Amino acid sequence: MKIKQKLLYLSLLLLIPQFLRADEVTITVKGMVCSFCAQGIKKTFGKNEKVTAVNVDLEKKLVKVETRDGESISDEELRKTINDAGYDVLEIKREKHA
Amino acid sequence: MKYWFLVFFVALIADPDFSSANPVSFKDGWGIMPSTGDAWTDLQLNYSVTNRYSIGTSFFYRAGKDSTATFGIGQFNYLLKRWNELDSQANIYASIGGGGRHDSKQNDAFSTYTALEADYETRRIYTLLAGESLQSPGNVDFNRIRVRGGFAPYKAPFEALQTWVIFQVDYMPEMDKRVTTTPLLRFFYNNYALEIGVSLDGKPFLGGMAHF
Repeated sequence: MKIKQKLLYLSLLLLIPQFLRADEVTITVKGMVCSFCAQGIKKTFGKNEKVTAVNVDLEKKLVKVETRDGESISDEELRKTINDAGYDVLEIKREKHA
Repeated sequence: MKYWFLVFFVALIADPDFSSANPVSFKDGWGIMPSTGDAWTDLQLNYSVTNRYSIGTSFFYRAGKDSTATFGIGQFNYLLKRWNELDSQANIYASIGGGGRHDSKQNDAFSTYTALEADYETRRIYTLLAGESLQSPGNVDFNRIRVRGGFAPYKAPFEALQTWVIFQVDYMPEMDKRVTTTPLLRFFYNNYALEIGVSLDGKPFLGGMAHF
Protein backbone atom coordinates (compact mmCIF):
# COMPACT_ATOMS: atom_id res chain seq x y z
CA MET A 1 0.00 0.00 0.00
CA LYS A 2 2.75 2.39 0.96
CA ILE A 3 4.62 1.60 -2.26
CA LYS A 4 1.48 2.27 -4.26
CA GLN A 5 1.00 5.58 -2.50
CA LYS A 6 4.63 6.53 -3.12
CA LEU A 7 4.28 5.65 -6.80
CA LEU A 8 1.14 7.75 -7.01
CA TYR A 9 2.87 10.78 -5.43
CA LEU A 10 5.86 10.31 -7.68
CA SER A 11 3.64 10.20 -10.74
CA LEU A 12 1.92 13.38 -9.66
CA LEU A 13 5.26 15.08 -9.10
CA LEU A 14 6.38 14.05 -12.56
CA LEU A 15 3.20 15.54 -14.03
CA ILE A 16 3.61 18.95 -12.37
CA PRO A 17 6.15 20.32 -14.91
CA GLN A 18 3.69 19.45 -17.68
CA PHE A 19 1.12 21.77 -16.14
CA LEU A 20 3.69 24.49 -15.52
CA ARG A 21 4.85 24.63 -19.11
CA ALA A 22 3.79 27.69 -21.06
CA ASP A 23 1.24 27.34 -23.81
CA GLU A 24 2.12 28.65 -27.29
CA VAL A 25 -0.82 29.04 -29.58
CA THR A 26 -0.57 29.78 -33.30
CA ILE A 27 -3.69 31.25 -34.86
CA THR A 28 -4.29 31.66 -38.58
CA VAL A 29 -6.26 34.88 -38.94
CA LYS A 30 -8.47 36.04 -41.81
CA GLY A 31 -8.52 39.71 -42.80
CA MET A 32 -5.15 40.61 -41.31
CA VAL A 33 -3.66 42.58 -44.21
CA CYS A 34 -2.80 45.90 -42.60
CA SER A 35 -0.03 46.41 -40.02
CA PHE A 36 -1.74 49.50 -38.62
CA CYS A 37 -5.07 47.71 -38.12
CA ALA A 38 -3.45 44.54 -36.75
CA GLN A 39 -2.21 46.58 -33.80
CA GLY A 40 -5.68 45.96 -32.40
CA ILE A 41 -4.84 42.26 -32.04
CA LYS A 42 -1.80 43.02 -29.92
CA LYS A 43 -3.66 45.54 -27.82
CA THR A 44 -6.66 43.27 -27.29
CA PHE A 45 -4.50 40.30 -26.22
CA GLY A 46 -2.44 42.66 -24.09
CA LYS A 47 -5.40 43.13 -21.75
CA ASN A 48 -5.35 39.41 -20.89
CA GLU A 49 -3.17 38.76 -17.84
CA LYS A 50 -2.45 35.18 -18.96
CA VAL A 51 -0.65 36.42 -22.07
CA THR A 52 3.09 37.10 -21.98
CA ALA A 53 3.82 37.71 -25.66
CA VAL A 54 2.01 38.27 -28.95
CA ASN A 55 3.78 38.03 -32.29
CA VAL A 56 2.14 38.87 -35.59
CA ASP A 57 3.33 37.55 -38.96
CA LEU A 58 1.44 39.45 -41.66
CA GLU A 59 3.01 37.45 -44.48
CA LYS A 60 1.82 34.08 -43.14
CA LYS A 61 -1.35 35.53 -41.52
CA LEU A 62 -0.31 34.09 -38.17
CA VAL A 63 -0.67 35.35 -34.63
CA LYS A 64 1.44 33.57 -31.99
CA VAL A 65 0.29 33.93 -28.42
CA GLU A 66 2.38 32.80 -25.46
CA THR A 67 0.91 32.38 -21.99
CA ARG A 68 2.34 32.33 -18.48
CA ASP A 69 3.54 29.04 -17.05
CA GLY A 70 0.60 26.85 -16.15
CA GLU A 71 -1.90 29.12 -17.91
CA SER A 72 -3.79 28.47 -21.11
CA ILE A 73 -6.48 30.22 -23.10
CA SER A 74 -9.45 28.32 -24.47
CA ASP A 75 -10.24 28.25 -28.18
CA GLU A 76 -13.43 30.12 -27.42
CA GLU A 77 -11.53 32.90 -25.66
CA LEU A 78 -9.01 33.10 -28.50
CA ARG A 79 -11.76 33.39 -31.10
CA LYS A 80 -13.53 36.08 -29.08
CA THR A 81 -10.32 38.10 -28.70
CA ILE A 82 -9.57 37.91 -32.43
CA ASN A 83 -13.18 38.84 -33.21
CA ASP A 84 -13.06 41.79 -30.79
CA ALA A 85 -10.03 43.01 -32.72
CA GLY A 86 -12.08 42.82 -35.93
CA TYR A 87 -10.82 39.61 -37.52
CA ASP A 88 -11.85 35.97 -37.98
CA VAL A 89 -10.04 32.80 -36.95
CA LEU A 90 -9.31 30.20 -39.59
CA GLU A 91 -7.29 27.72 -37.52
CA ILE A 92 -5.80 27.29 -34.03
CA LYS A 93 -2.72 25.15 -33.30
CA ARG A 94 -1.25 24.54 -29.84
CA GLU A 95 2.05 23.39 -28.46
CA LYS A 96 3.58 23.27 -25.00
CA HIS A 97 6.66 25.37 -24.44
CA ALA A 98 9.47 24.31 -22.10
CA MET B 1 -25.60 66.21 -56.66
CA LYS B 2 -28.09 63.98 -54.86
CA TYR B 3 -28.07 61.64 -57.87
CA TRP B 4 -24.28 61.33 -57.63
CA PHE B 5 -24.62 60.26 -54.01
CA LEU B 6 -27.27 57.73 -54.94
CA VAL B 7 -25.13 56.24 -57.70
CA PHE B 8 -22.09 55.94 -55.47
CA PHE B 9 -23.98 54.52 -52.51
CA VAL B 10 -25.70 51.91 -54.63
CA ALA B 11 -22.32 50.98 -56.08
CA LEU B 12 -20.89 50.67 -52.59
CA ILE B 13 -23.60 48.36 -51.37
CA ALA B 14 -23.76 46.32 -54.55
CA ASP B 15 -20.06 45.65 -54.87
CA PRO B 16 -18.21 44.27 -51.87
CA ASP B 17 -14.90 44.87 -53.63
CA PHE B 18 -15.28 48.52 -52.69
CA SER B 19 -15.11 49.43 -49.06
CA SER B 20 -14.66 52.17 -46.48
CA ALA B 21 -12.61 54.20 -44.03
CA ASN B 22 -11.89 53.55 -40.45
CA PRO B 23 -14.41 55.07 -38.02
CA VAL B 24 -14.61 51.81 -36.03
CA SER B 25 -11.48 50.03 -34.80
CA PHE B 26 -11.20 47.28 -32.16
CA LYS B 27 -13.19 46.79 -28.94
CA ASP B 28 -12.31 49.50 -26.40
CA GLY B 29 -10.08 51.20 -28.97
CA TRP B 30 -9.77 54.95 -29.33
CA GLY B 31 -9.16 56.60 -32.69
CA ILE B 32 -8.16 60.13 -33.60
CA MET B 33 -8.15 61.31 -37.23
CA PRO B 34 -7.12 64.85 -38.15
CA SER B 35 -6.83 65.93 -41.78
CA THR B 36 -6.72 69.16 -43.71
CA GLY B 37 -6.69 70.26 -47.32
CA ASP B 38 -7.51 73.28 -49.42
CA ALA B 39 -10.42 75.10 -47.70
CA TRP B 40 -11.37 72.29 -45.35
CA THR B 41 -10.28 70.68 -42.07
CA ASP B 42 -11.61 67.58 -40.28
CA LEU B 43 -10.90 66.32 -36.79
CA GLN B 44 -12.57 63.14 -35.59
CA LEU B 45 -12.25 61.36 -32.27
CA ASN B 46 -14.03 58.09 -31.62
CA TYR B 47 -14.29 55.26 -29.12
CA SER B 48 -15.15 51.76 -30.34
CA VAL B 49 -17.54 50.20 -27.86
CA THR B 50 -17.31 46.94 -29.79
CA ASN B 51 -15.69 46.01 -33.10
CA ARG B 52 -19.06 46.83 -34.72
CA TYR B 53 -19.78 50.37 -33.58
CA SER B 54 -18.20 53.47 -32.15
CA ILE B 55 -19.30 56.79 -30.74
CA GLY B 56 -17.41 59.97 -31.31
CA THR B 57 -17.21 63.65 -31.79
CA SER B 58 -16.05 65.58 -34.85
CA PHE B 59 -15.07 69.05 -35.87
CA PHE B 60 -15.39 70.17 -39.49
CA TYR B 61 -14.34 73.42 -41.10
CA ARG B 62 -15.52 74.27 -44.61
CA ALA B 63 -14.76 77.36 -46.68
CA GLY B 64 -17.29 77.28 -49.51
CA LYS B 65 -18.15 79.55 -52.43
CA ASP B 66 -20.84 81.37 -50.49
CA SER B 67 -19.96 80.89 -46.85
CA THR B 68 -17.52 79.54 -44.33
CA ALA B 69 -18.74 77.31 -41.53
CA THR B 70 -17.57 75.23 -38.62
CA PHE B 71 -19.48 72.21 -37.40
CA GLY B 72 -19.30 70.39 -34.07
CA ILE B 73 -20.92 66.96 -34.38
CA GLY B 74 -21.60 64.02 -32.07
CA GLN B 75 -21.76 60.88 -34.14
CA PHE B 76 -22.49 57.18 -34.17
CA ASN B 77 -20.48 54.95 -36.53
CA TYR B 78 -21.52 51.45 -37.45
CA LEU B 79 -19.74 48.70 -39.33
CA LEU B 80 -22.46 47.50 -41.66
CA LYS B 81 -20.48 44.65 -43.16
CA ARG B 82 -16.98 43.23 -43.09
CA TRP B 83 -15.47 40.63 -45.39
CA ASN B 84 -12.44 39.00 -43.80
CA GLU B 85 -10.58 36.83 -46.28
CA LEU B 86 -7.12 35.32 -45.92
CA ASP B 87 -5.51 37.89 -48.26
CA SER B 88 -7.93 40.79 -48.10
CA GLN B 89 -10.38 42.75 -46.02
CA ALA B 90 -13.34 44.86 -47.12
CA ASN B 91 -15.65 47.01 -45.02
CA ILE B 92 -18.73 49.16 -45.28
CA TYR B 93 -19.40 51.73 -42.57
CA ALA B 94 -22.27 54.15 -41.97
CA SER B 95 -22.21 57.20 -39.74
CA ILE B 96 -24.94 59.49 -38.50
CA GLY B 97 -24.69 62.45 -36.21
CA GLY B 98 -26.04 65.77 -35.07
CA GLY B 99 -24.68 68.96 -33.61
CA GLY B 100 -24.23 72.63 -34.23
CA ARG B 101 -22.98 74.94 -36.95
CA HIS B 102 -21.52 78.39 -36.80
CA ASP B 103 -21.06 80.20 -40.10
CA SER B 104 -19.28 83.29 -41.39
CA LYS B 105 -22.50 85.31 -41.19
CA GLN B 106 -22.59 84.68 -37.43
CA ASN B 107 -25.51 82.30 -37.73
CA ASP B 108 -25.78 79.34 -35.40
CA ALA B 109 -27.95 76.40 -36.36
CA PHE B 110 -28.53 72.72 -35.83
CA SER B 111 -26.79 70.47 -38.31
CA THR B 112 -26.74 66.81 -39.22
CA TYR B 113 -24.00 64.55 -40.50
CA THR B 114 -24.38 61.40 -42.57
CA ALA B 115 -21.67 59.35 -44.18
CA LEU B 116 -21.21 56.07 -45.95
CA GLU B 117 -17.75 54.65 -46.58
CA ALA B 118 -16.35 51.51 -48.09
CA ASP B 119 -12.85 50.14 -48.47
CA TYR B 120 -11.07 47.15 -49.90
CA GLU B 121 -7.51 46.31 -49.01
CA THR B 122 -4.86 43.69 -49.54
CA ARG B 123 -1.23 44.00 -48.48
CA ARG B 124 -0.53 45.60 -51.85
CA ILE B 125 -3.73 47.35 -52.96
CA TYR B 126 -5.98 49.85 -51.24
CA THR B 127 -9.23 51.39 -52.46
CA LEU B 128 -11.71 53.68 -50.76
CA LEU B 129 -15.02 55.18 -51.72
CA ALA B 130 -16.70 57.53 -49.27
CA GLY B 131 -19.49 60.07 -49.26
CA GLU B 132 -20.46 62.46 -46.51
CA SER B 133 -22.99 65.23 -46.07
CA LEU B 134 -23.19 68.07 -43.57
CA GLN B 135 -26.67 69.57 -43.71
CA SER B 136 -28.08 72.54 -41.83
CA PRO B 137 -30.78 75.21 -42.30
CA GLY B 138 -30.18 78.20 -44.57
CA ASN B 139 -28.63 76.12 -47.35
CA VAL B 140 -25.30 75.94 -45.55
CA ASP B 141 -24.63 72.39 -46.69
CA PHE B 142 -21.35 70.73 -47.51
CA ASN B 143 -20.96 67.43 -49.28
CA ARG B 144 -17.95 65.41 -50.26
CA ILE B 145 -17.38 62.29 -52.29
CA ARG B 146 -13.90 60.84 -51.98
CA VAL B 147 -12.36 58.15 -54.13
CA ARG B 148 -8.97 56.65 -53.35
CA GLY B 149 -6.78 54.08 -54.96
CA GLY B 150 -3.31 53.11 -53.85
CA PHE B 151 -0.58 50.55 -53.77
CA ALA B 152 2.22 49.50 -51.44
CA PRO B 153 5.61 49.40 -53.18
CA TYR B 154 6.82 46.77 -50.71
CA LYS B 155 5.43 44.52 -47.98
CA ALA B 156 6.68 45.56 -44.56
CA PRO B 157 6.68 43.18 -41.61
CA PHE B 158 4.45 43.90 -38.64
CA GLU B 159 5.68 46.93 -36.65
CA ALA B 160 7.96 48.11 -39.47
CA LEU B 161 7.37 51.24 -41.54
CA GLN B 162 4.85 50.58 -44.33
CA THR B 163 4.58 53.10 -47.16
CA TRP B 164 1.63 53.53 -49.52
CA VAL B 165 1.32 55.58 -52.68
CA ILE B 166 -2.25 56.86 -52.99
CA PHE B 167 -4.23 58.90 -55.48
CA GLN B 168 -7.17 60.76 -54.00
CA VAL B 169 -10.00 62.54 -55.80
CA ASP B 170 -12.38 64.74 -53.81
CA TYR B 171 -15.61 66.06 -55.27
CA MET B 172 -16.96 68.92 -53.13
CA PRO B 173 -19.72 70.74 -55.04
CA GLU B 174 -20.04 73.64 -52.61
CA MET B 175 -16.38 74.61 -52.91
CA ASP B 176 -14.78 77.03 -55.36
CA LYS B 177 -12.83 74.16 -56.81
CA ARG B 178 -15.19 71.25 -57.06
CA VAL B 179 -12.76 68.50 -57.93
CA THR B 180 -9.36 68.13 -56.28
CA THR B 181 -6.91 65.40 -57.23
CA THR B 182 -4.15 64.72 -54.76
CA PRO B 183 -1.31 62.22 -55.00
CA LEU B 184 -0.14 61.43 -51.49
CA LEU B 185 2.10 59.21 -49.46
CA ARG B 186 0.81 57.31 -46.46
CA PHE B 187 3.09 55.96 -43.75
CA PHE B 188 2.02 53.33 -41.23
CA TYR B 189 4.17 52.78 -38.20
CA ASN B 190 2.79 50.76 -35.27
CA ASN B 191 -0.51 52.42 -34.34
CA TYR B 192 0.18 55.67 -36.18
CA ALA B 193 -0.57 56.75 -39.73
CA LEU B 194 0.58 59.90 -41.47
CA GLU B 195 -0.51 61.13 -44.90
CA ILE B 196 1.24 63.89 -46.82
CA GLY B 197 0.36 65.10 -50.30
CA VAL B 198 0.09 68.01 -52.67
CA SER B 199 -2.88 68.45 -55.00
CA LEU B 200 -2.34 68.85 -58.74
CA ASP B 201 -2.99 72.58 -58.32
CA GLY B 202 -0.37 72.86 -55.61
CA LYS B 203 -2.45 72.79 -52.41
CA PRO B 204 -1.05 70.80 -49.48
CA PHE B 205 -2.85 67.84 -47.92
CA LEU B 206 -2.03 66.53 -44.46
CA GLY B 207 -3.75 63.73 -42.61
CA GLY B 208 -3.13 61.41 -39.72
CA MET B 209 -4.64 58.61 -37.72
CA ALA B 210 -3.81 56.99 -34.42
CA HIS B 211 -5.43 54.09 -32.56
CA PHE B 212 -4.98 53.57 -28.83
